[in-house]
Amino acid sequence: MVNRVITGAHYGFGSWLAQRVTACAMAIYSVLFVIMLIAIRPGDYEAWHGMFVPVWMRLATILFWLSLCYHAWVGVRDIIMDYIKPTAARLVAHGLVIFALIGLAAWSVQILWRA
Amino acid sequence: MHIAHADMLHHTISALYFSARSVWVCCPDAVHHAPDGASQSKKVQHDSPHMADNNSRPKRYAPWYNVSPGNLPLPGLVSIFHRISGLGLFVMLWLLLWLFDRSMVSAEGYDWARSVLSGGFVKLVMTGLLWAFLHHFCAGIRFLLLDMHVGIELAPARRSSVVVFVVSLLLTLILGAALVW
Repeated sequence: MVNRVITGAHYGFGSWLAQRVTACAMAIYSVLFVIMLIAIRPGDYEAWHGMFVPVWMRLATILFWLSLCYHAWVGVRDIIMDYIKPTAARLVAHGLVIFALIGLAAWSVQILWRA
Repeated sequence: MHIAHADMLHHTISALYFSARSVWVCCPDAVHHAPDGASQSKKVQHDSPHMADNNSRPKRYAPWYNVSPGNLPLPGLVSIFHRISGLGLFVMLWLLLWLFDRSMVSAEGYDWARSVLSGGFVKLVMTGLLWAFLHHFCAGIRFLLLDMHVGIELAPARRSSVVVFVVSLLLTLILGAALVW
């Protein structure tokens, strides 16, 4: 066991686990979605839009997008931590990614639930 | 990662060592007369824990520690492509969501999205994204299995990294033909 110095920081286990849980959720959705696409072969707007009308499909899709946002946050945060060394630049990059992903999450809700 | 662990272990060894044999810090010559159990001591005396700035110690990397992509074994390539594909998907996400948005809003929007997706260059980009997604998908499953200590030995880990490349490329061909082209 590594001897930890208590700094008040988290040690990343929560993020690590969340990244994997969201990955599993997205993997299941992706496989089902591709199967749906190949089975239904939506050729026009009615069929395509109709795929996302049932509430369960909207919920599954929004869970996919929210999982994606969380998953991307952990992954991109890791990349930023590895390659952007100056603290100020790193924190700015973190902030931009957070805002971008919150925006993405809100947008995906709006797409699925607008009238 | 390995280097970090080695360093930490080394510091622990140093700390233990100095607490037991601190006299040798004062007179390094004694090292040469030390019994066999003290063979580490010569290394230890160079980075004293009393040093004011630990970072001033020059980093020592093993000579084989070369992580430039040309020097990576296949599992290393799977790993770095996992990272690159993830970043690429993140960057292109807004384009995909924009197309999804337009295609969901009205029949005209749907036709517009279809016409965008029928362009040759866009199809090429979409095939690239499909490959990025499928590589990320397959490599991710491999990492989940490795996390659960499945196939963690060297030989199976190398085999599974080949499988990741082969399966993701095959799926890109199949799904690309079925959905993109």
